[in-house]
Amino acid sequence: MKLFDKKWRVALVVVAVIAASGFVIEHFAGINPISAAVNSVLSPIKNGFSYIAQSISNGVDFVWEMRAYKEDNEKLAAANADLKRRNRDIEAYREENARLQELLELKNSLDSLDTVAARVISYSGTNNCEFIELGKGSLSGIAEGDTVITPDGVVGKVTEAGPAYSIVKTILAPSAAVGIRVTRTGGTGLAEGDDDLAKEQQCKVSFLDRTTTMIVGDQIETSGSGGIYPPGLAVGSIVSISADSSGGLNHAVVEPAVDIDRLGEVLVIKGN
Amino acid sequence: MRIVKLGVWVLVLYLLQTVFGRLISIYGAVPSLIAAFSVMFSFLAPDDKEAAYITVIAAVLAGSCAGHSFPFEVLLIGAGSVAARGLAGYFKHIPRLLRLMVIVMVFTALLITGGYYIANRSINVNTLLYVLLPQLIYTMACALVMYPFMMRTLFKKTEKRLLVI
Repeated sequence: MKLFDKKWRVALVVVAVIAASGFVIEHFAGINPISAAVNSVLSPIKNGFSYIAQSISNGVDFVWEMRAYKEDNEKLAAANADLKRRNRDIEAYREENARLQELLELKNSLDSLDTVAARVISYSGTNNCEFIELGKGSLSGIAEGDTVITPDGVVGKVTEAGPAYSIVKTILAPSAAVGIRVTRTGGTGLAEGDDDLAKEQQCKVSFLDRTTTMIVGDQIETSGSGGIYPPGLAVGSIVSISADSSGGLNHAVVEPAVDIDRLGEVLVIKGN
Repeated sequence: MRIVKLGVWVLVLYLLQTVFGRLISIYGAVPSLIAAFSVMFSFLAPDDKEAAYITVIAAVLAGSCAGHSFPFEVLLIGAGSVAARGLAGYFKHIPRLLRLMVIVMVFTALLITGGYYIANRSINVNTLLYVLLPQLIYTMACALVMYPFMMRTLFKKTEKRLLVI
C-alpha cells in the first residue's frame, strides 16, 4: 500500500519532526524558528505583492462605493446650490441693509425736514430713466412737487402722487431743471435734462454766470434757488465742457451723483 | 519545467491566501488554499516523491501563517496528504472528483475546526455555523475551481505517437 511507502514514511517523519520542533522551541523560546524563517524569506515577496493587493483593494472599494459616492455627490451638489442661493440672498440683504442704513443716516441728517422712505418699484419703459415709480403715495404723505433724494444726491421730484404710488421725474428728464452751484467756486447755474444726454445717463448745466469758471471734475450741488430742492444736495460732477463762439462757457455735461438706473430705496422730502 | 510550475502554483496560492486574503474573502471567510492544494496534489500526483515534497513544503507554508497553530497545521496537512494518497487507490467505482471533494471536505473541516479551537480555546455551534461552515464551503468551491486547472497544468497526459517512416 502506497500509504506506507518509504518516501511517505520519510515525509511523515519530516512533518512530525518539524511540527514537534516548532512546538517545543516555541514553547520554550517564545518564537517558532521555522515560521520565522519562512516568513523572513517570503516577506519581501509578500511586501511587493501587498502593494498590488492594496491597489486592487482600493480599486474594488472605489467601484463598490461608486453608487454611494454618486448619491453623496448629488446631495452635496443640492446642498451647494442651496448654500449659493442663501449666500446670494444674504448678499442682497446686506446690500439692502447698507442702503437703508445710509438712507436712515440721511434722514437723521435732515431732521428739520419731514421725510419718508420709499422703494422704487418700476422705471418708465419708454425713456431713459426719466421717470420712476415709487411704492408709496399720498397715503404716506407724499405730494406733487416733493423732492426725491438718496444718500448719494438728488434724484428728481414727484410729478404725480397716487394713493399708494408716486411718479418721479428724474433730473435726466428734458423738462427737469435744478438750480445748482459749483461747489469749488460758488458759481450758479441750471442743471437740465436732455434727450440725447439722457441716453448716457447724463444731463447738462447751462445758464451759467459768465464769470463762473468750471473745470472737468468739478462737483455741483443744489443751490436752493427756486425753492424746490434744499440747498447743498449733491447733483453730480462735470465730465465735459463746451464753449460758444466767443469763448464763453456754453454748457457742461454732468454725470449725476446718483446711479439713477439702479435705485433701490429713496427718501422723499415732504412739503418742501 | 514541472518544478517551476509547481513553485508557481504554491507561491500563487500562498500569496492568495495571505496577501490577497482580504480581497478574496467573502463575508470574512478566507479559503485554506494551500492545505486543499496539498491534499489534492497528493491524491492526484503520479509520483510519490513529488507528492511527499509538496506535502512538506505546503505543511510548512500553511503552518507559518497559522501562528500558534503551527504544529497542528503541519501535522494535519501531513496526515491529510498521506491519507489522501492512501485513499487514492480505494473506492475506484466512485468518480475521482467526488472522492477528492469528500477528502478535501473532511480534511478542511478538521483543519479549520481544530485550528480555530487551538487559537481561541473555545468553540460553539454559532461559530461552527457562521464562521467555519462558510470557510469550509468556500474552500471546497475553490478546490473545485482549482481541479481543472491543476489537471491541465500539472497532470496533462502527453500523447505518445508512433512515428512511421
